[in-house]
Amino acid sequence: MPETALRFDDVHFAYENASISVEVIRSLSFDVSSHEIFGLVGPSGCGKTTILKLAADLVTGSTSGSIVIDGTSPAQARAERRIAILFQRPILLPWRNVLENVLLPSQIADDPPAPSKAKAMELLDLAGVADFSDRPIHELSGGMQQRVSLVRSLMSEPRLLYLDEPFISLDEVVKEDLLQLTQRVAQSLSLTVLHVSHSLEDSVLLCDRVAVLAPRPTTVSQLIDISLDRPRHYQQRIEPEFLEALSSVRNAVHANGRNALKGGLQ
Amino acid sequence: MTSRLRIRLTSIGLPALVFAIFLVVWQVATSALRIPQYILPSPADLVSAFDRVSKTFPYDLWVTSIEAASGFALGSVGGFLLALCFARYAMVEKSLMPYVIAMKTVPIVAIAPLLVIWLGAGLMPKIILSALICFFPVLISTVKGLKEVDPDQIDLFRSLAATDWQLFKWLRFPSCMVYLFPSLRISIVFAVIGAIVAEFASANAGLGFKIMLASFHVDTSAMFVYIIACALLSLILYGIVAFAERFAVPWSYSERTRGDL
Repeated sequence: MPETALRFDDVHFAYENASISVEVIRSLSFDVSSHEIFGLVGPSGCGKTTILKLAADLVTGSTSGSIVIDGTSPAQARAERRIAILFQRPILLPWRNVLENVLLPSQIADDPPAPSKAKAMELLDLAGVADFSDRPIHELSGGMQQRVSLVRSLMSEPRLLYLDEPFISLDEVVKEDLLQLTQRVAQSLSLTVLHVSHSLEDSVLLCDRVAVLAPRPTTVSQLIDISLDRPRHYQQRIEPEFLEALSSVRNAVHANGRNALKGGLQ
Repeated sequence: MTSRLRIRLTSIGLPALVFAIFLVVWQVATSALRIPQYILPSPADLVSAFDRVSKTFPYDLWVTSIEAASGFALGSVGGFLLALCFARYAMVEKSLMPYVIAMKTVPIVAIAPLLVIWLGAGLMPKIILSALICFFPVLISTVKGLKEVDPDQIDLFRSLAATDWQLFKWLRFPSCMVYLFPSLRISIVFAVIGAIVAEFASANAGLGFKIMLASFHVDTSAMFVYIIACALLSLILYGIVAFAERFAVPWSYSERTRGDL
């Protein structure tokens, strides 16, 4: 039985300020196995990014239940640099060139510069952007920036990679490239990946399992296994197995929508 | 001729042509309408006035430049350091910000005579007045720049377990440069104004002092010469800061240039 890399157990969370409390997550439970690519899908605003930020210890509010990462708390996992995040936007620092951006995690960790640079160049090569290592960020396209961002997230040799809809603003061709790259990287570096997205197609293409989230306050309404062979390609989107998997995820999402509508009408 | 060169020539040539036409119209109008020299001197009168004052002019220019540049340096550094303090320690900001705002409401130029009483008629009151004028834009912009960092960038640093010092050194400080330099460009112009106004209060050299002196003698041509010199001094100092900005904040400059295209 594969060991659990990330566990949410009956997690409740609400954003709080002086006067109001907004419940975002109610009784959320799921397990992500080591080396698994696990997806969270749900409508925009349902709290997907909040779940990811809770798992990265990047959000404060009223929390109950437990979140465990390889037997430790998210705060400890973050302090030990076992987590990396790829954000919706590339979040590169414009005053640094490509290589300097990639080296940021090593600088923060105070790693020796020479081996860090060699590792950075190796990863940039893997991502196909090594030739642009000395370029300023603004000279790169959105897709290339996201590749650089992916490389940067791998510099700290994380065990868990969180993907916060990183493909959402990219065009189809670039998105296809990045999805392939992410699969390749996850496999070759034995990463556990938590992918949140509202794109059902991206989730089915990338993930081993998908948790369909109910609207706010969110919880897992259904867990769906995506048992398609790897590596997966964009061309598979028209194959019956893919369409079947996509259809089961879509039905689960729509069932949530109908239930929410019924609840609203009642 | 490349299109870039043509654009550059046009951007320099057209304003130069407008200026030449303006000078001709000015010269013809003052002659044709027989406007007295003490009301509006012609460009030719300005040339002869400049010739008259040319012996002392470099020294006056030097004095005002030193006052403005020193005041700018003092005010900017002071504003920047206090902004660092404000951004780092919320309690300091809460305690001092009301007084900073209250001070900003005082018309700084009106305290020039007070500074002369306290500090004498030397360079110091001019430098202090220029510094006070430069202080506020730099303080406010830097505080804004240090605080208004992209939250996702902060999350990135926190996810990498960065310390507060690393966050400041590698994120907040470079981020605030984009806010700092526009305020420096404004401040350098204010610094020249501060120096000139302080010279009005009490001085024995400088462009402001000479404007005052020329007004006592109703020497309008000389006044024009010194006023134009003040404007050129502001323009040159502004250009130096803008030039420095290109090297200190190249990413912001290239973003703006791309925006222009």
